[in-house]
Amino acid sequence: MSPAVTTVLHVDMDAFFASVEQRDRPELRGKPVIVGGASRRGVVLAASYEVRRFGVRSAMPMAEALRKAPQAIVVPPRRERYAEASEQAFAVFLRYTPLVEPLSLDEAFLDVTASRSLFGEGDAIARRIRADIRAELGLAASAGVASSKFVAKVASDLSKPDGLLVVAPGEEAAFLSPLPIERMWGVGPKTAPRVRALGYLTLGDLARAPPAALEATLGSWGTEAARLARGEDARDVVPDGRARSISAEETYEEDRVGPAQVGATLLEHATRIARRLVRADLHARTVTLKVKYADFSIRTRSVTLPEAVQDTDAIHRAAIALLAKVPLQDRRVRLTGVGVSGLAPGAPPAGLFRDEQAEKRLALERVAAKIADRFGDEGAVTRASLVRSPGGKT
Amino acid sequence: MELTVPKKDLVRLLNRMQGVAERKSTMPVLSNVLLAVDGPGTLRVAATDLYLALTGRVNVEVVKGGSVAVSAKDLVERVRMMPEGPVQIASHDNATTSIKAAGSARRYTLRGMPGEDFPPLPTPTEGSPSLALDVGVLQELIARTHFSISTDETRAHLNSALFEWDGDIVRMVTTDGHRLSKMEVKVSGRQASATMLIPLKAIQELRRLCDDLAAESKDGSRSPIQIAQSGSSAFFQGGAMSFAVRLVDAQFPPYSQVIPQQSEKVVRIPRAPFADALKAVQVAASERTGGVKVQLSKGTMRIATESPESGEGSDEVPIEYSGAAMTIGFNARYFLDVLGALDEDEVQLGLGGELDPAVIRPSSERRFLAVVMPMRI
Repeated sequence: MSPAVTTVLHVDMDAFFASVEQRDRPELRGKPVIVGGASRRGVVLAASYEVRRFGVRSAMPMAEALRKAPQAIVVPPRRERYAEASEQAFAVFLRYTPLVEPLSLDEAFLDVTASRSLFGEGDAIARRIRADIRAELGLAASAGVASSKFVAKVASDLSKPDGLLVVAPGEEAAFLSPLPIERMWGVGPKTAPRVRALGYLTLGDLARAPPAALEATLGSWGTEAARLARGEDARDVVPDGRARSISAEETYEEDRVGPAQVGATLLEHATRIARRLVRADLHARTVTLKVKYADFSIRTRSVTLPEAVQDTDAIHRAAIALLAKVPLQDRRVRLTGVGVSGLAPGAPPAGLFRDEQAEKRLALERVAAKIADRFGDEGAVTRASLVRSPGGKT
Repeated sequence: MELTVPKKDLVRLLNRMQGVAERKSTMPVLSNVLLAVDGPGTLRVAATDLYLALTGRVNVEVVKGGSVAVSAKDLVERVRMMPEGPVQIASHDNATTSIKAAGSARRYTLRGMPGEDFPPLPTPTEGSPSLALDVGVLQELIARTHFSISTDETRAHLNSALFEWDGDIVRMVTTDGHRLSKMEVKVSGRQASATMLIPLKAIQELRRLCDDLAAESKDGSRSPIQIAQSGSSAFFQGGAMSFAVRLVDAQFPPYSQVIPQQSEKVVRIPRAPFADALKAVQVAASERTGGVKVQLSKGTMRIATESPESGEGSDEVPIEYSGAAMTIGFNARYFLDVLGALDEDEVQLGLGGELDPAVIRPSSERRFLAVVMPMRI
């Protein structure tokens, strides 16, 4: 592991809307599915891989798509459903790093440089994310791993469908060089012929072109594109500040029943969140509890605390208080989760009363975070009460 | 049960009950109010959320005794719609309750439950220690301290006010962990000893009770509030209202340890201009933290804020100060709450280092003080 090199993931859900429809409606699986308005004047919002074979692409006019694939099944979009799946996918991303830059509902950049000590190298993280999405959403995602955003994005595009492509540090230019010019950012069906006419057929052609010539023919975009084509991309992954949150959740092999059993799960979530807050030097104002029942219905409850918090106990206390607000009597619970949002940098403001217990806990959490940083195992230090039986009280 | 009651008296009482009756409780009975004939010419109305039980009495004309419990919200909505004047309320064997008025065709019926099914309300055991406190004193204790009670319900020891009767001193102390307020009043000639942790919800109820009593008796002949402690509950009674509250069973933080005994630097500030400047600068402060920078120099306090999202804002207040220049960050709201609870012309701000707690109190009296923790800014 060379800590100096940034590791960026680009994760993209495959044929997202169409895949959600195929997942929810088994009769559509393996069939050519187009998501879009039923009218012939509409456009294709998403096309399943089965229908892409016929040349159907998203954003294509519906009439043209149906000319190419008359047998396609057109289904109307269900946006809430996609938003829900998107939220679940982003929750998976945020498990591995707080640095998630959303590009759309189904696509994001992740800076996992600091997460490698926890979860392994970029390819291992990408594998875990793809596996989590497969297991929890029942959907396929493709991922590219590289040292910059541009290379990661190209890699994930090339890996589709359901693929993973890793570009090792130092290999960027060699990887990009043979690719057709259309892979360059900003080169669409209209600009491609113009760029090709100038003699630039591959990204390698752009990379090797004299800057003055590029500047003269393609303007500042030309020099920028040449830099990207050489694999030089210094743009940071910029997390979406408004939507930032950290969460931890777990699906249990055996359903939990009753407040004691369900409540016992929350300390572990709170511990994981506190550790990540300490590590990222953040504090949070809002705590959210999520409970998924055996029938897959979900209840969430949130509380915005009067003071920002960072330690396990404050988060745990809030989660336990929220638990009283969801129905638990005689209900089987398959998943619990705790999340925090309203994040801001730094430690929470100092209080009047020295809480030696809390200070010790915070010091412990800092040490635990350091141990995890060094040995890359999130579970290396676990609070004693977690060891009790699942039915035990916390 | 059958009775006639003036609409305005009943509405006033029911409005108060609504604050206690829980609309969304898992126990439906708790969203009800109890109506019970209590002797000739008296109706007792009560509501409870199992922590707080509020009881009021109103003079009525009784035709037939008995009791019934009906939804607090439904009842008050219907009584409000009745014409002014006497309203007739009658309950029948199956707890169906009818509401009508003489000379009006308007009428309602409500399904209720028998009064006996309403949870029994706590009463102090015979011979429990009881204290009488002037309404004005209690009003002042609450007015000057209630704002620093923590609203975090998960921290019961801070989500309450400490009420202490210590010899001839009554004291109320509240803290949310970042600031603290303490008010002491000497009640000459009365000696007692009591300590209780009163939850925020009960403090709000107590405040309303004091305000009502003070408003009712402007002629000065007001009756005191009776306070009794029995078991884990406290009982407050004044005029026609009484309530019981389950006290918080927790340790209040060791507040006297964090009150600075003396301050290195003392600043005298005119109260109203200080509040005015804080309000003005707060507009430009980060919504998240409410933090402002207080810069002291000889004769002038500059209050300023800057944040990437809200730009900059500043104002100045003339002060009496001759110490070294210093800058310290505070949550503006903490000061504004204190200044709003005072009416003296001048306050005194005692400061130590940039991260030491600050003390603010009126220059002219020693009964009140507040401690505010600074923030890094």
